[in-house]
Amino acid sequence: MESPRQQHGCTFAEYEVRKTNLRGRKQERLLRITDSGLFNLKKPDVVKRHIPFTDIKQITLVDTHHFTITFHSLHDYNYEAPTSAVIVRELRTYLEQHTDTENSQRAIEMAQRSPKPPPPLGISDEARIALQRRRKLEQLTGSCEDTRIGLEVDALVYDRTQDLGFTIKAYISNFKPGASFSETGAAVRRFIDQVKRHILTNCDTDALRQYQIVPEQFGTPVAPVAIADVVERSLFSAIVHPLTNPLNAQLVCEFETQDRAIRAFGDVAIAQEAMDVAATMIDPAGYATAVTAMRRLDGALNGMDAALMRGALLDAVRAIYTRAAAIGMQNVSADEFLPVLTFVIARSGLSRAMSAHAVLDTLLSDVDRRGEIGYYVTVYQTALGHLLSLTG
Amino acid sequence: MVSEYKLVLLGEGAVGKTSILLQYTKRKFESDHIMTIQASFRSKVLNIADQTITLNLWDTAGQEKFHSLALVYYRDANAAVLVYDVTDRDSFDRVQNWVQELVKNVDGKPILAIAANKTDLPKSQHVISSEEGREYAEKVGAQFFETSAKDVDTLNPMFLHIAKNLQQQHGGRNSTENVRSTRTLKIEDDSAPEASTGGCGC
Repeated sequence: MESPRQQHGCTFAEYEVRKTNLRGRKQERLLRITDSGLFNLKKPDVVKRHIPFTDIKQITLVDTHHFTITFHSLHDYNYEAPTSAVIVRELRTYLEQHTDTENSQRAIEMAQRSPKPPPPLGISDEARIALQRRRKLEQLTGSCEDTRIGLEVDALVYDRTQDLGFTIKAYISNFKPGASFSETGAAVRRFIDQVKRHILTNCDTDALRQYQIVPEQFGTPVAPVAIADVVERSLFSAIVHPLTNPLNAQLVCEFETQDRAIRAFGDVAIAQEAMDVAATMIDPAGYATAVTAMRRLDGALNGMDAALMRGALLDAVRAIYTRAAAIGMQNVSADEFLPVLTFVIARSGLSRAMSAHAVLDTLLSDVDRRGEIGYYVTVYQTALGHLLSLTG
Repeated sequence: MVSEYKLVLLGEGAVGKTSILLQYTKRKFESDHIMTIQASFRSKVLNIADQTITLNLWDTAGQEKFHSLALVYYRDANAAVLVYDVTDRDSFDRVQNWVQELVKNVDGKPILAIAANKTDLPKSQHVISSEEGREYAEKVGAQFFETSAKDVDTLNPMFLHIAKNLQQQHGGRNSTENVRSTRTLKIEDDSAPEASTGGCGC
């Protein structure tokens, strides 16, 4: 049989105290702190009162021998003990720990209770349930808004029971490559643009945007999310990723020779020859980070992952700027940047450098083409052209 | 409403393209002694008549041997700034080549501006007069500006002119691509758009 002590839960501490009741009578008591609250016991094990932690308002040390516990629901308890100071300190510690866990518990409950925004248009019940589950998880793990909106868009795009999802699926299963990769790429791009325009104009982007409103108590302000960018990312993986095999096959057919020519520059001596800047500026070790980043382009291309491809190229670019700053070049003009990028490409020995360019160039959205990634794709292309011209 | 436009800076090496780009996009309160990495691609956000316009400025490599590859830089450009050095006749001649190429190779009609750069150098060193530059600009339908990369006040009117023209030409056409959350839209208010004509000949 369980002892009364065990019934009170896990005991943290016990103190022998003397309580003064309302009539001024002193009573010998045992104050026990457990995980379920405070117990005021008459020795040995008679529970006079069980006080949950939430009911405790304040613990006051009156003097070295006296302390008071104030409750929300009841009159104060006045205690007397030679070790009052120690008891008060320890009690407060337990109380604090307990409130901490309780607060996080409350936060989770609030997250679960927080008003649910209406679902975006055209989602089947099944998709909605999956979405709600993921959204709750996102809320608890505190993921960024981009991801959350991305999930909403994914739900639209992957839902085969609706027109949009069905159209995409039909496009993928009926896909036929064009005469050249640039033609194929342009056709895919056109399709992505059409779908994107459809989502941005016909679907309720306001509904998507509502998800950005996060209850204040969860703190950090939300970073701006460009819905068009999120839609672009979602669509790219939904449409281009399933086409990885046919696209790659066509790339290999078309660019194998050029890819091989650029791969041959992996040799350092040749790479240096490709440069038109002072040899001192080119320190192979210095650009190692850029070269490593650039090498990721191959893997990203194999999976037709646009985000990774951009990431690889932009990381390489940033590594070049960082390196330039480290050797005291504060401003890097295009005249200086281009040779260095050429060098980095040559050193990285990419196995499919031209193919990577073809994908980035033909599949970039119009906005991207005019933006930062567009710029560096252009410089990358110029660098490749220069390398190829060296091979004759 | 947000619109993004591509603007290329073209010109021979060492005419000051990069300096113009950096001077113009330098952030306020960014002091010179703090080491910041300066890229050859930069964006500038302008706020004109309640519309936010993003100018993406593309620096190009001016080296002769890359010239044949330059086409890829100005493809799809919405605007171009052709830069020459007022103390260098060759650089002015090159601008004329660039204009011909642009007209030949760019679809649509990019907004053109010609920047006579390095006007801060003593007049005695100038070999191309304002009149000659302006006359040429008029001939090719470009707007003419006298600039100094050292003085941002000579650059603002030029880019503002381009931005306003882009806004007029495109209306809100580029905007559907860029539906951003209005709640969190960040607007960098730009310095005085009150018509300081600068070197503008209009």
